[in-house]
Parts: sequence; C-alpha cells; structure tokens
Amino acid sequence: MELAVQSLILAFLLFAVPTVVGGLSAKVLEKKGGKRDICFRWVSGQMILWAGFQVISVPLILAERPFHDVVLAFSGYMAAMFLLGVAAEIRRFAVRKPEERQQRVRGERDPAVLFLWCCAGGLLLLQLVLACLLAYEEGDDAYYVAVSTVTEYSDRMYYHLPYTGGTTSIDGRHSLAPMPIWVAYLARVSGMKVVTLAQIALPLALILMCGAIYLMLGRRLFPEGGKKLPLFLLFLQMLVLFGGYSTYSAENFLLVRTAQGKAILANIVIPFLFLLFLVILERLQEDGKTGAACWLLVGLTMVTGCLCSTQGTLLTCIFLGAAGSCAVICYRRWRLLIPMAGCGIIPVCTALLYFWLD
Amino acid sequence: MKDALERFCDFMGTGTIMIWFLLSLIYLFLREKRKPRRILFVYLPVIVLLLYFNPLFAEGFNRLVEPEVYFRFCWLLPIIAVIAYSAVTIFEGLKGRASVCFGAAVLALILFSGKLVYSSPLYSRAENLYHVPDSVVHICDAIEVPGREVMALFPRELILYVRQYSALVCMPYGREVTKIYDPMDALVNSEVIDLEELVPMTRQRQCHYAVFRQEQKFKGAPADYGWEVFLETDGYVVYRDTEVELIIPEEAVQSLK
Repeated sequence: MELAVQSLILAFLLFAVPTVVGGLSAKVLEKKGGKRDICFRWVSGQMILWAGFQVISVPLILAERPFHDVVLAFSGYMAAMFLLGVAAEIRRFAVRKPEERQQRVRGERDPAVLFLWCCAGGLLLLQLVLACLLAYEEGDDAYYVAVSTVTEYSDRMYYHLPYTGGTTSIDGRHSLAPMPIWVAYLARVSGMKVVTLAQIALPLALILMCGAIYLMLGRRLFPEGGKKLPLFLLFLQMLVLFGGYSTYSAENFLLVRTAQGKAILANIVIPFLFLLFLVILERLQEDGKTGAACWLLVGLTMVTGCLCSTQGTLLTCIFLGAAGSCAVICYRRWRLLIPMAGCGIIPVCTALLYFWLD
Repeated sequence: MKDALERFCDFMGTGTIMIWFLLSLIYLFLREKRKPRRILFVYLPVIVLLLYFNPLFAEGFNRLVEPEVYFRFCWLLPIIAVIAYSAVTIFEGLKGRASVCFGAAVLALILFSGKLVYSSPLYSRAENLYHVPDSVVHICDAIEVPGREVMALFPRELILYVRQYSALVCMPYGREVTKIYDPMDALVNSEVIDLEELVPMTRQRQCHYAVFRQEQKFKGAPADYGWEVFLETDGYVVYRDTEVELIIPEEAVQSLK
C-alpha cells in the first residue's frame, strides 16, 4: 500500500507535472489550434524542471546549505511552473475555435503497420520489464546512488564520502552536476527508498522518455506515417537492445546505468538537442524564422546537460557549436550566432566555475 | 592521437555497428538532398569525427577533463539514428517482397553485428525491490541502529551495495580499494585471515561489526579476540566486536520502546 502511494506520487512528479509544465513550450512544436503533442510536452517540461533544478541547487550546494533548502526552493519552482502550465492550458482552451475541438476520425490501419508498431512497442516494453527484473553489478552506482541515499538521510549535500560515510569537503567536479541530489529530492518528496527509486522507478521513466524522443524524431522525419515510422522505431529499439557491443556505447549506458547523469546526457539530453535542431533547421528552410521559444528550450536543455555531468557542459556546447555553425554557413544567417551565444552562457559559466573550484 | 584512436576502438567495440554507421553516412551523403537532414545526419557527424581525431582538440579536451572519458565525445555521433534513418530511406525505395526482405536483413544485421546488452554476465535476476543482494538487506537491517551510524567491515563482493542501501552503515573502505591498495582489504581477501593482524586494524578504524563469508578460515578463534557471532544469514557470519563501544542514542532507545 505504502509503495503504491509512493509510486503514485512519483508518477505525478515524473509524468503529470512535466507534461503540464511542457505546455509552456508547446508552441515550439505544436501548430496553433493543432493536436497536443504529449511526448513533446512531457520531455520539454522535464527539461524546464531539470534546468531549474540545476540553477537552484548549485548555489545552495556551494553555499553548503542543508538539503531541505533545495527541497523547499525546487518545490516552489515546480509548483510555480505547474500553475503557469495550467494557466497556459486554460488560456489555450478558451481561445480554441469549436471546430478545432472536433475529434479526428481515425483511418483504418494496415495490419503490417500495426504489426510493426507492436514489434517496436514490444521491444520497448521488454526493456522496461527487464529494468525491473534484472539487477546489474554497476560500480559507479556505489557512488551516485550512495550520494543520493546519504543526502536524503543526512540532509547535507556532498558532505559525506559516499563509499565509506566519512566526512569530506565540497567536491567541485560532482557538486556542479547534482543529478544525484535530484534523485534524493524525488525520494524525499515521494517517500520511496532511494535505492528502489534509482534502480527501478527512474529507469522506467527515463527509458520511456528516451523512447518518446525517438518517437518524436521519427514523426518529424516521416510525417506521412505508414510503415516507415514504426520501422524506424523498430530499428532504433533493436539497436538499443543490441548496443552491448561496447560498454561505452550510449545504448549500453541507457540500459545499464539508466539513472546516472551521464546516461541521461547521452540518451535524453543530446538526442533532444538533436530533435530541437531538426526543428530549427526545418524552420530556417521553410520561412527563415526560428522563434525565440525554440532557442530558449535549446538553452534549457543545455543547462540540463550541466546537471547531468560536468562533461555535459562541454558536449552540449560542442553540439551547439557544430550544428549551429553548419546552420549559419548553410543558410548564411549570421544572426543565429546571437541565440547560440545566449544558449551557451550557463554551460560556459558552469565550466568556468568548475575550473575555479578545481 | 594514438590515445584518441585507442579510445575510439574501445568505444566501437567489435566495430561492425560503426561500419554500418559509416556506410549509412556515405549513403546519406550521396542521397539525402534535404538541407536540414543533411546538416544533422551528415555534416554534424563528420564535424564530430574530425574534431575527435584532431590532435589539438584531443589535447585541449584531455586537459579539461580526464583522458579516460574522452570516448564520451563520441556520444555526439547520432549512430543509431543515422543507421535507422538510412535503412528506412532505402526501404522506402523498394517495393513488395524486396522491401520485406530488406527489412528482415537489416534486423538480422543488427542482431549479428551488435551484442544483446542483457547478455552481460554482470546481469542477474533482481533479488528484491532494491536491486542489491538479499544478504546486504538482511545484514544492514540487523546491524542498523536508529539515530546513529555503525561501522562494519564487509567482504569485497558486498561493498558496492551497502551504502546504496543504507546511509547508517559505514565502512572502513569502499569501492576505491579496487584501485588503491588498502592493507586491511588485502588481509580480508587472504585465504586464511590472521586475526592477530586484522583485529587491531578494525579497532583502529572503530569497526563495530565484521562480516565474512561462512566458509572463511581464520588464524585464531574470533571469540578469543572479543568477536561474538551476532548473526548468520545468507551464507555470511556477522561478528560484533565487543571491545568497540556502540552507544545507542537515548531518543532511539525511547523510540524502540
């Protein structure tokens, strides 16, 4: 019973809240009066929340404030974002024309298409089931999960050595990428034991989120639907499952170290940046306008990269530099350098802080 | 440069998936005409690869972060997206049986080129909701004291899990002993543990408990050194060192009552 209540609270925090918050960035992908894209709202909402967590928690960690300060401040931020999301949704519903509210009539599905969808969905489901049933002897969990466990128990952040329990001073490398503190936050708010949260609940949410990003990418690449979209997803899911060819592949990290920041960086943050850049480039191709909301979301996703790993600062900046430069050169739009520079401000500041603390 | 190549080899493992990625890249370079997709699926990976193998860039990157994690730069390569996208675009151009055969061939190719992540010997069936061995749960639950921390010596196979499960159970050393020599760990891992040597070390580090495998052999009798059997569970014996004081906080005693 207790576990059921904890799971419900977590489902609210990990699915409902980000989806509502994502309504704030809905116009990046959704057309006016068009169908809601729940996947996009969920992922973008989570990026808004993660970026907020990074901005709130790092100063509090460096100031050696207790963990409950982070819990209070982030809960306030999340509640404010949630209310703004609700308000935006009400406003959007009010201005919607009646004909736009009509339900879409679904056409008949080709059995082959249905079969491909079932295969792709089945493979994703298999990953979720095995994330619950199988345990992996992962050395780094001894650090990251222990940091979350100790933080949740002791109410102090990065003050105890996770391996042994002795006391220590602030460690710049890890404290600037406080993903384990977010895990501790979820444990504190839901009441679930950190180790269950990190080993079962979060892998379920994060593997699903990665699948949602691939789905959005597929929809973008194959808007006409048919067999191509489920086939694309089926190939992707097979490549994820058979990504054990190297212990360093992003796919291996997704299934083995799911709740660790670096796995989130490789499998959620970078693919989501990829998707956002596809949107930006398609808009440049169509009418030359990219929209501030899209760049803002790129910036927030880059801040999330900093939350995941200190290397996230470098990788997201390099991604921005490489993809952005291509866009600038191919479309001869030098003005793109301005939002690009804006997106890089927080990651660059984080990197500078890292060297200063080191 | 040599380092970057070595790390790239580590990253690509068997290398076959990387070959499919490079072939897909060439295919898309020749066939993909839409500029946004060309930028993301062709130019971006090429730039990332050029940067990765650029000795100046590698030198700079490795100065900023540890060289062992240089492979993470390869996460910027959209490997699986490029392979899947190019496979679907080829599929698009085929009709009837040819398309079905091609789809099946791609799946077979992935199956034989990759390696199932779950085939790793490090995977095992989860014993509980915590994904840590049952022995860790039972031992930690038994030795935990509300309101304070206890120090316990654990065998190597359990040290990864103890502090994930409980913040109240501390250890004299943790996972770092796999890289840094610790005389206590060396002693604990010997075939026959000499208690004459070990006991002063555990007392110096204030270990209230010591956990050993049931079949562990000792030189000397634990009882002679003030070690009492506290618990026997899941193939392990937990000894309580009566010489190391364990004061239970008053509030905890009250709460237990």
